[in-house]
Amino acid sequence: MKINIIFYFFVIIFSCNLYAANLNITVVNQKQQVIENAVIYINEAIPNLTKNSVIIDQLDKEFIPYVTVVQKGSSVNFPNNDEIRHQVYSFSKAKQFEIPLYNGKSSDPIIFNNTGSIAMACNIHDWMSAYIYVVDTDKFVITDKSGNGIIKNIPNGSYEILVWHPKLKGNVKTTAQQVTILNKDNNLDFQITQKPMMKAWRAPRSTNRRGY
Amino acid sequence: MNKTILHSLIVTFFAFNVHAQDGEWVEWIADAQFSYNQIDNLNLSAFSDDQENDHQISFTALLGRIYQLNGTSRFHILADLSKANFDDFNKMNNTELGLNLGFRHKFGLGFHKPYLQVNFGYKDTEFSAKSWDRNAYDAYIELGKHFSDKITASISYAYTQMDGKPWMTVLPEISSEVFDQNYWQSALIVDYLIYDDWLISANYRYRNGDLTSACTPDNVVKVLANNTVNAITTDDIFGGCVYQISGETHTLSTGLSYAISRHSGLNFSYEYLEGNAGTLNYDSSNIQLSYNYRY
Repeated sequence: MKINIIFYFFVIIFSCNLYAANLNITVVNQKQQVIENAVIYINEAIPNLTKNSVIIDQLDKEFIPYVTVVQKGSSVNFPNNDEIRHQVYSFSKAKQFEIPLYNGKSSDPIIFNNTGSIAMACNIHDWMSAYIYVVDTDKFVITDKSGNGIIKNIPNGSYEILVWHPKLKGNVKTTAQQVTILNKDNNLDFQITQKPMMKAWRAPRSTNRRGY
Repeated sequence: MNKTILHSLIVTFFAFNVHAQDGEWVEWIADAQFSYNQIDNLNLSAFSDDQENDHQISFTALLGRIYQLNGTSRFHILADLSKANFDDFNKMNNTELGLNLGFRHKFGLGFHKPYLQVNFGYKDTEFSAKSWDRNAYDAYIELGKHFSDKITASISYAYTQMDGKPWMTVLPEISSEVFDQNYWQSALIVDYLIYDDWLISANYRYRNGDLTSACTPDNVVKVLANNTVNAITTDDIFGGCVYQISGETHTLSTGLSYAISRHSGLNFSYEYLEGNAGTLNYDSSNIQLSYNYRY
């Protein structure tokens, strides 16, 4: 009987992760508007990160999703699910690439070995744009439409949390906040300054303008 | 001569297409526009006592296809059908059937690379008042560039040759083919994104060549007394004469666009035209509200 009690005690103890907690984060801009598609991540350099394979789709002449986070060394496939052709490219410092005009599956995945932001676009359809953010950690999240995100199962300890967004004004380091995780969930609010950057116009205009 | 130039350009256009390798028919073009126009001085009269205003409702549908040559060049071919109805001047009601061929080239890879657009068009327009029927050929060239994520600008040049039909002779020594016209126009267009879904635009257009004006018989006498008109005939629409005269116009327009979705938008524009021909001065304006859809 006593052995059973001790056994169940240890089962309960170890089934609960006492050494990890969640971080609930909300991101707003300088006007207190909630920010969707903000990347929140722990600033750490984990060696030998898992190299994932990620898909960025092209549908209805848009990249889906608009913002993607990948771990350093991961590869991204760009299948084209439109019945037309796209030409994907990036001039970003973290990764420069070009996938020549294609439809269907792109030939080879692109591997992202450097951390940072990568802006990409389609050379045929100027309004098509999207972002990849490469991180050195497996602890990250992208905010939803309400500006919320949860980084789960963070081990106890002190961390620097950073936020990046395509419209972020200034260096990502300026967003840094320190947080200490100690067995319980934490809430963290970020306010970032956005620059007035626009996504290229797509909606139709007068039929007299025939720039196809 | 002008027709020869036009034909040569079209031949060149198709000759270029023949050399295309790895080209492919890609996107469909299926556009529609429903618009309301309030037009002041619809008859472009130079005299304030016979200037007519009206409201117009029009519908335009475009159907076509794009041929992608490579990562920087593409052709399009499209047919368009347009129907316009006027509130008071019903005889101005018209149906337009057109064909448009275009070539677009982007000078390299990247959002900020400039582009060149060359279009050739043919339009047949039939009015309720048959004397106004015409067909038109035009060649259009546009050079544009995204200067930033907010600002896009373009300059364009267009040459149009119109063929009308002879109508009632008013003066034996003057042609009655008022709608046989040639003119060219050049425009500067600047688009500015206010927000992701709001855009404003400003447009200046200079037009030089033949223009059409209609006025009452009393004013026609004044026109003929001091000016050389190229052609004149009787007019069923405005109840006097319609004449052709060589002149120039300057048009300023401004627009506001709202993106309802990826495929549809609301567009508002105001256009003001001022021009002169001989001793005559013209001005007119147009307010347009349109709903546009693109497949």
